[in-house]
Amino acid sequence: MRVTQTMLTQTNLKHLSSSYNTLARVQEQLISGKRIQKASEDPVVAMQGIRYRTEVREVDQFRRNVSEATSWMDLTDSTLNEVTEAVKRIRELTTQAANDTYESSQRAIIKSEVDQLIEHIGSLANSKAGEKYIYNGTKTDQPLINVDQLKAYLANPAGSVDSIYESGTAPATSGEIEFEVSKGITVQVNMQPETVFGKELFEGLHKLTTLLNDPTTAGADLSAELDTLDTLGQNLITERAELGARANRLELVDNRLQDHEIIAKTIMSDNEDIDVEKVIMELKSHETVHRAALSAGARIIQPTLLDFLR
Amino acid sequence: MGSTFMGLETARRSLSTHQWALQATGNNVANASNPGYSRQRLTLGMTEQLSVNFGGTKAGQFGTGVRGETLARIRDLMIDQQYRDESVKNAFYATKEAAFGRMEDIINEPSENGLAKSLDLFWASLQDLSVNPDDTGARSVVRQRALTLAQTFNYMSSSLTKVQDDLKTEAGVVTKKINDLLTKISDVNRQIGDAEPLGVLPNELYDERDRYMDELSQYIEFERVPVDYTNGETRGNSQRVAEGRIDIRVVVGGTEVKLVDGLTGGVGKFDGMTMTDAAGTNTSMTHADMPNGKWKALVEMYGSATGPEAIDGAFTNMLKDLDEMANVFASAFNVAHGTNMDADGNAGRTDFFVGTTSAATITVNPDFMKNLDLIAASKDGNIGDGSGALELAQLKESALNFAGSVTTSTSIGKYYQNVIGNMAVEASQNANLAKSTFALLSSSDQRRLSVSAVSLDEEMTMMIQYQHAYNAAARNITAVDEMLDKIINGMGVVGR
Repeated sequence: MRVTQTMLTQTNLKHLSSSYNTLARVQEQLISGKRIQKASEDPVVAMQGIRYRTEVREVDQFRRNVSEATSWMDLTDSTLNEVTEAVKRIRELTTQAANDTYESSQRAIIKSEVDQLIEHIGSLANSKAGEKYIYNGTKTDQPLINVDQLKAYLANPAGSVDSIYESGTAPATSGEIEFEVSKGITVQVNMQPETVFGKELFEGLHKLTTLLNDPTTAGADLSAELDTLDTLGQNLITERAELGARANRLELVDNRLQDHEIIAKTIMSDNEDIDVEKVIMELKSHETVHRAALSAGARIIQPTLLDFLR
Repeated sequence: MGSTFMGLETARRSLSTHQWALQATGNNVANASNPGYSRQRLTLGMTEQLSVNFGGTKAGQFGTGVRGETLARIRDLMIDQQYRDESVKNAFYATKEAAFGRMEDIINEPSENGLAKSLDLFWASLQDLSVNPDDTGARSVVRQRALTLAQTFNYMSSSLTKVQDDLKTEAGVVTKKINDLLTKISDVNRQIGDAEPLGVLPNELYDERDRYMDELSQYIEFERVPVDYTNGETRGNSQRVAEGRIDIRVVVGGTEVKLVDGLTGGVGKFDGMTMTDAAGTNTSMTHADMPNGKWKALVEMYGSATGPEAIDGAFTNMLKDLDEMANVFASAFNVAHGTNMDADGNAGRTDFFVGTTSAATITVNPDFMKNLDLIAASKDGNIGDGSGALELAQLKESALNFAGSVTTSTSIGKYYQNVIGNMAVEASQNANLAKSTFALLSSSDQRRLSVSAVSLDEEMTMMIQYQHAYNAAARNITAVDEMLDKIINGMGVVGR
């Protein structure tokens, strides 16, 4: 084949330009840390990249939901603990008062302490997580118990238990609050008021305080109330156990999410991030080729026969 | 015996022929960097021979010198044809590659600011709202993220439309260039037709015509059909190697359309989807029988939805897919939103997103911009219930019925992945084809250069050869001169 100067120049230009293209690609990879800049460079990486990124963001969001749920449940648990303690103290006081040697003035002192404890339970029922009342179903913007009404109810032996609730009736079925903690998996975070602060609790306590107030009450009458208090206490423990089980489940979900987060991020990184050592090696080898092309061009294009003619 | 001055005439012919040969060489050197230039050679031929009788039966034929026969360009028309075939293909794929590149820039996936990210952020804000339905902050984030999602659709749609318009404009420019080149080729054709009968080879005109055809070969696929001397006849004193006038013909759906008619000098017109031949007959094209090349690539990329160019162009399809995604998702969202209760316990409105029919117009209802309470996150009407928001969030995962470039029932995220995947595969195929056709194009260009390009070393050698021949001829004249001097001035003076 006949080779001319124009061909040499063109070949050189073509190879230099393709060499620059390769170097530019490697440079972009090194600077961005990503294997591809455009979807067409590797369609599979691009498609999966979208999916993996979504997955990472989803896991991130679910972990946020879990942490919200955990703080809600922690608060629920601590208030339920206080309620249990209060009921326990009331039981102690009742046992004390059931002693027939106690006179009415002494019982009155006990009653006032019991009343204080009941009011405390009432205020615990109005606990708030942030701006949310946690024991009023989905009506998180309203308190469950009207504390003033509760006081009036305790003072009035003929009072109706419905009156102490802000809504005017004892809660029957109130809304469950559920958070999504994994794709399609929801966990109920609230304890419904009918199970923990239902009318049984307040009616039982109301009966007790009325008995304590009544001078004709015999010790045996009060002893009979101990059973009611035991039932109430037992109920609270059952509810706390239920809550504990849920918290446990949440913890497992959280652990799994943590693992998932690491896996998702690893997969995402494997898919789209560069292997730096490999790319640097690639850069080195392309650099060598590029330098060779430049020096070959300089050597071949420059001289012509003219240089050697006298 | 020959004439006394025969030697002088022979040497004179040599002097002048070599001067012309050197002139041709000089012209080659001068045009060494001229891209469309084919090197020229003066072919030398002997002048009439002279029979000389040496006496008896001995005789010899003496040459009487040299003359230039033809000054022809050195070119292989077959390689030209190969070059133009590759040029058509390369222009087609390279144009598509470039257009897909602009599409990818706009779509910008995978990245931290594409549509997928906006969708994920919107989903996350709904999740946050489901956890904190009473929080006005969470509500306002939902609203802003919804707006971002809508604006991402708007931005992508308007940018794609802009590029689509640019491509259409470019196709128009290409049409103009095609017509311009056809006129130029026809002009050169006429000049060639005028010059050849005089017995000359209009090399510059041949080169010029080939340059125009090279340029034309980027835009459309055509056939170069010579129309003179097809049966060995001559026109006037035209030389055997004369190329003659040519037709430029384009095949559309099996019929040949003469865009340049060499014999009549007529020029046709290439006008979008219609071609007018040199005689003025119109032939309309459909997508299936468009000539290959840059023009076809541009039409395939912008492919408008209506009109004679009604084909599924890549940009048309992408816009259709975006419209479909915006419409299906926003409509499903609106319906789901309507089944919820807002913060004031009223039934949710079914117009959270408005202008849903197109990705270009979708936005968040301005009423929601004024009143955050309208966002319906609750199922039972109480503020603390976030299950409605959760349902809205889960819409991202639920199967919706899409009928864009593919009809399928899948989640919006998967559908989008599909769209991106299809685009990426098509773009990478075009990029690969552009690369391989470019390799073929440059290899045929190399072969062409190998035949036609000027080699300086070669010219230098020829120059030396011609120069020495010229010098030798001059010396010959001197020799004859001295010979004649001897005869004329030196003879018959014995004893003077």
